[in-house]
Amino acid sequence: MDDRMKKKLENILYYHKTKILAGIAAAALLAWGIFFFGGGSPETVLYGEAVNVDISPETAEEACGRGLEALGKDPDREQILLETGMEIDTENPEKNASSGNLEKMTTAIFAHEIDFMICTPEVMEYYAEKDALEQMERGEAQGDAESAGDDAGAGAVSGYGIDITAAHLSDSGEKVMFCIFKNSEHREEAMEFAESLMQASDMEG
Amino acid sequence: MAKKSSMHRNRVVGKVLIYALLILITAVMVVPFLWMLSASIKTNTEVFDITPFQFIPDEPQWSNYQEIWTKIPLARFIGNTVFLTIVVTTLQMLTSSFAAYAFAKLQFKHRNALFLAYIATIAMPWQVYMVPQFIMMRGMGLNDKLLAMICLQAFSAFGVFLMKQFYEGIPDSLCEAARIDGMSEYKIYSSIMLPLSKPALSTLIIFTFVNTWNDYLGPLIYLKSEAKKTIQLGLKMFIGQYAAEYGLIMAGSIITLIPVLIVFLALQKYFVEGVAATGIKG
Amino acid sequence: MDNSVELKKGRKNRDKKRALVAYSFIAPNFIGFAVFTLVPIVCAFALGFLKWDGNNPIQFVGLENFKELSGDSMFWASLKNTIIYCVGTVPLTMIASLALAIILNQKIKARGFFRTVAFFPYVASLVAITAVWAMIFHPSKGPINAVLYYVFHMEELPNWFGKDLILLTLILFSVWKYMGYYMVIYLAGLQGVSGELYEAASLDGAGTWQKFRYVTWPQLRPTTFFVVVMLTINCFKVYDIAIMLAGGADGRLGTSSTVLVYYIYQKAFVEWDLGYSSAIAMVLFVLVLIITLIQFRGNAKYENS
Repeated sequence: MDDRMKKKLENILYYHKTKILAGIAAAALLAWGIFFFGGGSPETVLYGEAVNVDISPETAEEACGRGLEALGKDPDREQILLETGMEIDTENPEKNASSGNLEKMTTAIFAHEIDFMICTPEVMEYYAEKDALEQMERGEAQGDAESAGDDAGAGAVSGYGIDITAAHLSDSGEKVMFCIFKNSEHREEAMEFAESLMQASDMEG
Repeated sequence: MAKKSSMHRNRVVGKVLIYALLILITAVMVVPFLWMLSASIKTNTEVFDITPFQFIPDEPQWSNYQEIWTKIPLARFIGNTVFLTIVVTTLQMLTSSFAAYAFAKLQFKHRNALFLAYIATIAMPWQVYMVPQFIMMRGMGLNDKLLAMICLQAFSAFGVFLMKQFYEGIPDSLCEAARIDGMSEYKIYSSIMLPLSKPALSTLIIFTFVNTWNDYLGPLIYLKSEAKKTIQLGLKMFIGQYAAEYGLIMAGSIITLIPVLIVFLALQKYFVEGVAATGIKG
Repeated sequence: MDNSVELKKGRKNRDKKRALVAYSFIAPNFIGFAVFTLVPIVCAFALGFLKWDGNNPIQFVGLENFKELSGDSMFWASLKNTIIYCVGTVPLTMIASLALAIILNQKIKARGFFRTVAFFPYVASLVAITAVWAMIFHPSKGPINAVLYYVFHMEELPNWFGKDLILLTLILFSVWKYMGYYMVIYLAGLQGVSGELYEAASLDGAGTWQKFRYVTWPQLRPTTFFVVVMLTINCFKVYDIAIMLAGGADGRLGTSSTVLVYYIYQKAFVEWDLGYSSAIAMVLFVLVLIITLIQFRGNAKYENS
């Protein structure tokens, strides 16, 4: 490399340092963005929240994977999204102001975004009173109730939800309900998902 | 001679008074920070115990600082937040200062009306338009995407207002002179206004950085997949059904506070007398 | 004759070009702002005339929501509290932040450290700072009441979180939390004040106060305008610090501490009456708009004089 080229390069470096640095920074950020978020995320076919029920992320992922299989979806491109860890105080709803959870739930329900909810009977009551839940017909999950056999409560339909305690999603031993929102655009798929949860519990038992 | 020494004495007294005042203010301001530090090495039951309040507990839980990395995917959350914050701050800085230049230094129809519309929207509490906004974003397919957070935070009216007020402090004569020299408006913006508005840009960067970094409600509503969550959502995961692990929350808060303080310390350097003033002289 | 027409045409073309340039400056921000903020806000306005509970079809109810609002005692209480809070907070925060900025703009040691410390309450975790305040202002165990008791021999110690004092506590709290934030804005504004003017004032024998009155204050006008407008708007929107400090055992804010945005939250997300909450927001919006317009007028007057 001759000296003139070198000088020229030095000049460019000297005068356009900030521009070059900015360019590198932008390129790095872009590369990072593609690396981090590239490849596109799978399409969400069902979205639900676990409310006041302690489900570990691993259990949730496993259950969703099985549900996806039951629905006959492609696990590489589609997903069932079950978010865990939501807490709602149903006795004093105003107490949720600092957690923002009521904002989240209400927005998702009003936007027809949320499909189902795995929750305690109290939460089910809370949303049933608001007329947000799909009324379940007796018999729809009755078959499961019978096949569940000795466990009397399993699969039982109680107006607005299915008892899925037997699916052992949570270790606490408390009663766990599966509810479907009236506004959901995928009510049938949500029902199938609930059934897949119950079937899994049969296999274990 | 006598006058000079009395002036000197006055100055010393003034200095002492100022430092006394500053130390008092520091004491008042820094208490929560000390509380956070203390809480971050406590167990849950000790955190809110004030009878008696112990600054350093009998058994400091240094493991809190370890646990936060293993109990939740904190590194991932930090990555997401850093990415989001950098993109939002950059976009905000560019678009706001750009628009503010037009509002401060250019004449066009409906300038004041448009500007008032900008400011008026700040008065609307988010709780009111949260639902329509979410429905709209969902329609655009932006739900559960980091892009949604970028779109919502990068174009604030606040930034435009802030920058416009600072540009107004720069004399019009400076722009007029440049125009007569045949400079285009874009050139005036980039080579005269931008270098002069370093203090204002620093302010905007600090505020946008802090707001994006600490934002909780926005990510809560829009981001649902674990892989996309931010630090503030991560910290909330320590609040369980029966008890909140405040020791861990505070350890996490301390960690997330460090970048904010570094950014502030680095940028406050631009609040130096004469940055804008010397420019105007020339 | 022809010439003047040409001239007019030329000027028109030039104005048009200038306007186009101006719009090109605004466009990047405005498009994003209009799509993601303005459109949803307009939708929220429309909600004020509707009844929507999320599950049933939306109904048009005309001015029903506003009629109901006029007889709603909880709404009036929250409006009253919000206004009292604003009247207390806006001037106090402004004065405190300006004073802080002027002190921290001087050449002192560890300036960056002191500035960071002053900014700290704004960025600290809200859980931490409310816990600290609950401790400091604790009716029986807090240091404030201890001072009142031992130093001033006060017999009846005030309950800072009680019905009568909660708004005062809230005002003190927000002055403390936000003065560092507005200090940053003032600090940036102070950098635009020309040093030459100070020198000239010094030569004229002006004292510290006169320098402030005749040099700093007028030069800070655009900054002060920004601070006052933003402070007013943000005070009217007070919400999170109110629920953290004043929320009772059941999380509710009573008539003595409820504020407008809290009431909006309650109506929208607890009671699912989005139309009604939008109506409350519209009252808030109109109120703030009027105040902002007055501030704009005042600002324009100063500018001309």
